[in-house]
Amino acid sequence: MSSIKIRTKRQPGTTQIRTLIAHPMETGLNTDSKTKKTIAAHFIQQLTVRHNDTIILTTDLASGISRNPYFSFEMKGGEPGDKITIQWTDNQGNSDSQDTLIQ
Amino acid sequence: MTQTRRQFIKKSLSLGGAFLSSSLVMLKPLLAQTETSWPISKFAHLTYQIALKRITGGQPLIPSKDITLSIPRIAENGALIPFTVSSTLEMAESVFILVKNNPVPLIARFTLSPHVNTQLSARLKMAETSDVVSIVLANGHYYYTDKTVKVTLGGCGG
Repeated sequence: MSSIKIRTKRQPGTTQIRTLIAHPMETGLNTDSKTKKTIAAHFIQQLTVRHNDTIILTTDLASGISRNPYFSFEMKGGEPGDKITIQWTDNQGNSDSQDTLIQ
Repeated sequence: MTQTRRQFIKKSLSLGGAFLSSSLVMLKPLLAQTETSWPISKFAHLTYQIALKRITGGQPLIPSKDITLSIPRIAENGALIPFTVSSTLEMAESVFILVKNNPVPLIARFTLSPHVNTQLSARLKMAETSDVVSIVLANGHYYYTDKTVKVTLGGCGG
């Protein structure tokens, strides 16, 4: 299962892209309530949105974004069948990517 | 070998020092590289003023009515605060979101291409009651608008 869910919605002249990513987004400041150890920072650093393989938006993030981040963007144009790809990389070197077709 | 223990230690220390400094020199371009991919200096644990200076490079912030920041005035849970930034400024290049009192003030930087409108939503964490500032870089100028959010339960303390 991919960690990324994407929903697109066509509106007059624009396409709304919404995404929900499963990720802990740990700040590195919290301590585990049982072991009393600091939980290592673990957060998404970069998020890229592509429209038919053209980068339309890049986002640099830090741990200030909530757990299981949600984003919504608005793209100009967009036709049914166009491909939207969302990719993320985190500070521990993990990454994931998912694409969807505009309905 | 007529080397005393003292001489040996002296030598090995200086060698170690040389090694350390050379490895630091090698590390430098590596750090510079990560700077372009993910701006670590902007996302460090800083005060708001220093973070702001690193973003704008000392340029003044211009208050603007063309940026709309929608965010709840009172948040019960600081771990999950939805916000939306929209702007009618032409040629917007980047959007920055900052929370003044957070340990890491910069929340996110969105780099926009001409294919997207300045209409962004996400959810952020807040440690305590603070001002939330959204900055839009357009035509080389930094425009901003801010709002105070009252947090009744902090979001960074787990």
